[in-house]
Amino acid sequence: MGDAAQGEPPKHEVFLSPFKVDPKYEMWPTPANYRQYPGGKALPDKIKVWRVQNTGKDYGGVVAFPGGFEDSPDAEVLTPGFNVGKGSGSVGVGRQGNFLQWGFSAPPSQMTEAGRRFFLNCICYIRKFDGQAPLVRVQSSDRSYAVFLASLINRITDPKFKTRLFPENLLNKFNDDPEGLAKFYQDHLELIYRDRVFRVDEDLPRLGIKSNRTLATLQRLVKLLDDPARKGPARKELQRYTERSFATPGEWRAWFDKNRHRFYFTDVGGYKFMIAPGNYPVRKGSLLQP
Amino acid sequence: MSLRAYPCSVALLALLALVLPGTAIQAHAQGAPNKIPLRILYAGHPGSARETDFLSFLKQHFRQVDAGDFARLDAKKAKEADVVLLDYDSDGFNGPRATLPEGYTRPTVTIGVIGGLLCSQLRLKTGYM
Repeated sequence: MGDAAQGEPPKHEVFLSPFKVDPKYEMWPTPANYRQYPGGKALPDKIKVWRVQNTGKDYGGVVAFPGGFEDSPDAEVLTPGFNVGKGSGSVGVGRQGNFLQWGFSAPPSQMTEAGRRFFLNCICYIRKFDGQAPLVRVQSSDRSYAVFLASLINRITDPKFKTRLFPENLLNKFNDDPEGLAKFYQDHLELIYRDRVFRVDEDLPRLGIKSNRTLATLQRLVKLLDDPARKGPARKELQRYTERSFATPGEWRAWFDKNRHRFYFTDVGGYKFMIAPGNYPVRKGSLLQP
Repeated sequence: MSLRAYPCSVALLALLALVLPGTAIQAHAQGAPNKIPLRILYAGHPGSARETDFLSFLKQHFRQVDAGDFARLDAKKAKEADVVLLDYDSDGFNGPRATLPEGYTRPTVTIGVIGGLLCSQLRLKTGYM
């Protein structure tokens, strides 16, 4: 990442308090690397940015991958960073739990006025998360990354790398057809999970379930434990997508009912339903809605 | 209350803040009693120009600013700070690796490449890779 944040800041206190951040916008040519990532071909020729620092370099800072960044309630993107390495929307400044990563490189003397204000606000903002450790640790890329990597399968020359990403049967089927493999994953986006490699769940559709990451799915799986014909597959799916193991359907039901307003599903955290602790400051809109 | 009730310098600063965009942050820096009431630990590269740059700026704005060493984060100092800043003046790949104390939950700003690498080491979403 170079000198600029990308796009207009969201309506967020970190741009308002204690100092109002007043970005001066510029239009910069869209970096070529953006075109290689999902949605990149549709981007306009120029991108709206605002300078945070003035080093004159388009490198030196860092951005984080945006896919799945906000799939847990402990994380939020504060601004994307204009960069020449990753895709559009990559995270220039973001927070997870008590950690706020400022991806820009320059010391304050090289920051713009807007950059200095934003930096000071970030320091004040993270103070609010004292004692709030991150809820998840990175276990995997999110499912959109499976689609992206599938589209590059013919450019990956190391066969071991391929087999660490995709199941053998799909590699055999789509080895010379990256578009076909990417379409397969895109068509089954709601059923992708990671078990060593990116897999598509073939069991959920047999139970009449179309997505592995909704609260209705979790509720349905718990309910199916009472169905003698489907309790076996339902139990298997609950083991796949939760970190719990209960002996009886009643215990599963009690667990679900107790936590139904605190569930979230995280790809990055391991393709699991997880529970935000009751006193944890969750990001607005980050929990699964009934 | 009229502006005349304030000391002349404060009234002038307040007036400037109203009429000149960007003045608020400067006015804030000049008035020591108005400093942000936080204790900051900046753990960077001791003796570096970058450390001087950061410390000078932070001291203008925060009530207490202490310096530390990124490579040997002082757990006691970190515990006493309201916010810890972790930074270094290298491209990160050639810099030292920080180790955080067990159960570390202090509010922390990680900066630049070395911050991103530390986050990767901690398997955080804010990590570099």
